[in-house]
Amino acid sequence: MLVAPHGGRLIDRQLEGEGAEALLKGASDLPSLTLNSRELNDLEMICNGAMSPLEGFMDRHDYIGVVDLMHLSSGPVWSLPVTLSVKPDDPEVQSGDRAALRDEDGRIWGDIEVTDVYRADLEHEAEKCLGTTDGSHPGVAYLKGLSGRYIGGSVRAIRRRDEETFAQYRLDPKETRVLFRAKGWKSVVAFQTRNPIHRAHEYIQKCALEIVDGLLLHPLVGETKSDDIPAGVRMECYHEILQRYYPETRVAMSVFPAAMRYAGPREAVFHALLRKNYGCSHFIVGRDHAGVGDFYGTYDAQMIFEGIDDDELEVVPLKFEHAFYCIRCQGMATAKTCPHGGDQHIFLSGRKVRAMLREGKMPPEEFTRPEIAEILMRAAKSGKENG
Amino acid sequence: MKGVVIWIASESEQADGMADSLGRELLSRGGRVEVLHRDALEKMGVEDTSANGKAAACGMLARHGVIVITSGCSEMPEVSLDEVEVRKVSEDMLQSKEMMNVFVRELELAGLVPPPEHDVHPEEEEEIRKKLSDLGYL
Repeated sequence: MLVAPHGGRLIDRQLEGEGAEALLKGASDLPSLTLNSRELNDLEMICNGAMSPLEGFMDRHDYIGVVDLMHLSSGPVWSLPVTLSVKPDDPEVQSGDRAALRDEDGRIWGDIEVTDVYRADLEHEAEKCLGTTDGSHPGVAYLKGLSGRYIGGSVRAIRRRDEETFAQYRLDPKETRVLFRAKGWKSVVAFQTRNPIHRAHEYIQKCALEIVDGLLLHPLVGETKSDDIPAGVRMECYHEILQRYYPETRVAMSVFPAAMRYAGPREAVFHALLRKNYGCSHFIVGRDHAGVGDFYGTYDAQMIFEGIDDDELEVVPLKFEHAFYCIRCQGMATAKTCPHGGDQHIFLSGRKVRAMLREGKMPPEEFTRPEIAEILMRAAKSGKENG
Repeated sequence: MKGVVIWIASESEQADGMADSLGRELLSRGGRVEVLHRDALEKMGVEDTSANGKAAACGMLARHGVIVITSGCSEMPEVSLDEVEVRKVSEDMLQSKEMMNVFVRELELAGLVPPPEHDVHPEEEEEIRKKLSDLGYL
């Protein structure tokens, strides 16, 4: 039996067909609230059940509970706020109102039953959730751009499958759960990434696969920093490597349509809980998970799990150290398994790899599979790969 | 799963029906459930079927991980139910199926009752399997 969804059951608040038409018809006369890119990602994740037990954007009780105590007001552990900010041009709404949810181009994507409008201390939120108030942190920069007022309430969303990117890889939690059952997997490990796959990632994934039934490769395709590798390039890398180096019956790939918050430790817990909703019993937490710059310690995102009861989490974090190729060992290893010094280890920083690719140099095969290097080099030349 | 006493605070016959309905719902989820009406207590040989006697019996079962649902008394008794989770609910709060779902959901989130056994309806599961097959996953 697969791990139960967080809070007991999957939320499903997506509408298609007649339901979507009815929502559109009803919402067109309602006051409209504008969602930014992250909020649109969150709307999708709430309504497809990935953020179960959330049924909407957080009210003040959940918000305060999550920011200060990492728990929802109803009890379950939860590590990051999921909020809808009041925009300068939004109409005034109050508890009891219903409002349409539109993107910045004015298109309706859902509606909300407003239960709360409240002022938030964004500096406090940044300090508690991101561990910093430094404006050079992308998560802090995001908060600094908000009004400081949030709207809480349950939401519904319209599903427009024919417009979705990576449509063939876009599986909702209930779909991955059916997939896992059909494959006979009882234990599944999820791997989240916003980077192209290198040998170190492959090594970690395969180590994890040794102890569970299946591996879900779950690349994040929501909003990321402008200098991250574009999702399309990353997906092409994964597609290539899956065909050549992974056992077909033990691995599945689907996209994770969440926005990055770069919240390090708190986001590692967030990512783990969401993967639990997708049916994953285990979640890989590598070095500096969801980190950015030097804001977090290398293993902070692993240590945060030590403060959370296993019974509350119900998803096992698999903590991996920094992996590299060791010339003396003639294989992939970590400091846990290799006795040799750094001079024997082959590992390149992302910056170094990008510089090599721009110069037309192939990274060493011990670091990146040649098939992946070719995709990255092609992307670099065409200008798709940033930085 | 730890036990809980769900005390429907009403003396009406309708409340007994609500207790039965709630009991069936939780039983269908695989919960260890006992619905304690007055006659159930008598069958168990409990002589004191007052509110205090009923609460004591409920407490004993709940301490062993049972979800105990009871009705028939409008007020919670004074007997101590230390270390036992008690959720008091009025008849008004369970008037409709929708309201009962809200109450059960609160219990679910508090980890006091199991979630529904199927996260996807069997008919929908068939549709999803077909989609997964069309996409090459199966």
